[in-house]
Amino acid sequence: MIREALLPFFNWLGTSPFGTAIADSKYAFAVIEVFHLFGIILLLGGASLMSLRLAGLAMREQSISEVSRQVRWYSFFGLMTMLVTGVLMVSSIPNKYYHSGPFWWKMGFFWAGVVFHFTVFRKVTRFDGTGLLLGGVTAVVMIVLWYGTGAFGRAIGFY
Amino acid sequence: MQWYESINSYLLDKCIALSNTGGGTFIRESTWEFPVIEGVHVLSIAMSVGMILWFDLRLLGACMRNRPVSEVFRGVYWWMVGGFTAAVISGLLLFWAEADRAYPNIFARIKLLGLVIAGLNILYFHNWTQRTQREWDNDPVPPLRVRMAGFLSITCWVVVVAAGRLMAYTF
Repeated sequence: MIREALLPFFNWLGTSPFGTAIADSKYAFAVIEVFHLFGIILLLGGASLMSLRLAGLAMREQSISEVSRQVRWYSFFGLMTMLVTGVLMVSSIPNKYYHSGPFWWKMGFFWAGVVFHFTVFRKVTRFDGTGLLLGGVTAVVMIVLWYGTGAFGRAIGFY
Repeated sequence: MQWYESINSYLLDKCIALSNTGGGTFIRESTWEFPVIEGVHVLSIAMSVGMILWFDLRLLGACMRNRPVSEVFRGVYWWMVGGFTAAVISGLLLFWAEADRAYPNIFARIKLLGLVIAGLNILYFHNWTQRTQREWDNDPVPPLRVRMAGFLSITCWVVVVAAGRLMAYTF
């Protein structure tokens, strides 16, 4: 149902000035995809650092809240880069993405990741008293959502 | 330049033979194996390079300034190494399947060059720059030679990632 409701948006993206410009360019899509990959690296790198700290598996010499303060901007910058470049990529070939199964799985994991990141994950990583069980479960959910987003994103090219 | 021509054709022959082995053909023609290996390659790069860049930013004095460089290094070391090992193994499997097309590819050569320079940078940093680490370990912004190592590392990884992705467009 959400998919059908978004069809006009996909059609609009395809006819937008940036969508047609990227589709007409020989190199734009490839360059944008490289930046998309940089965004993924920063997001997954930052989320991995924070999740591993939460689970007590990395950077144990620094407190959870300190790592969170430092890593937050790193992940956020990656997320924004990924989002902007992702919209640009879809705008150049909206039909391909609209009819791709892995793309919708990616969107499901991505938006669940965004919601989880800015609610539970953010709250849990703000304090130092988080127990290993809550920290571990939060870390696993965050890793599954972000790495799932990346895996389904890669699958778009194959299926 | 005859020696270059002969080495070039020798290596190309070896790469064609490698990709035509049973293993190479199996990976290339598989329904699931190739996409899964490529997925592992991308995600392990994301984790390891994401952490390497984080450490490089500490060398530049851009994050974790109130923490010693050695402490930040210890905190992420095994994950950087683990992720990079997974990236290398999956990368070699991908090369095995497509060695014939990767060998003459300009972006594959740029990627390899980036990896070699990144490796030399690590060796130089480990064997020379780190000898004086006690003097700058706690500096919020380390000396120029340390920052240069961080900057060179970031540059190399940007080139490696970009060239790796662009390879797929030129195969």
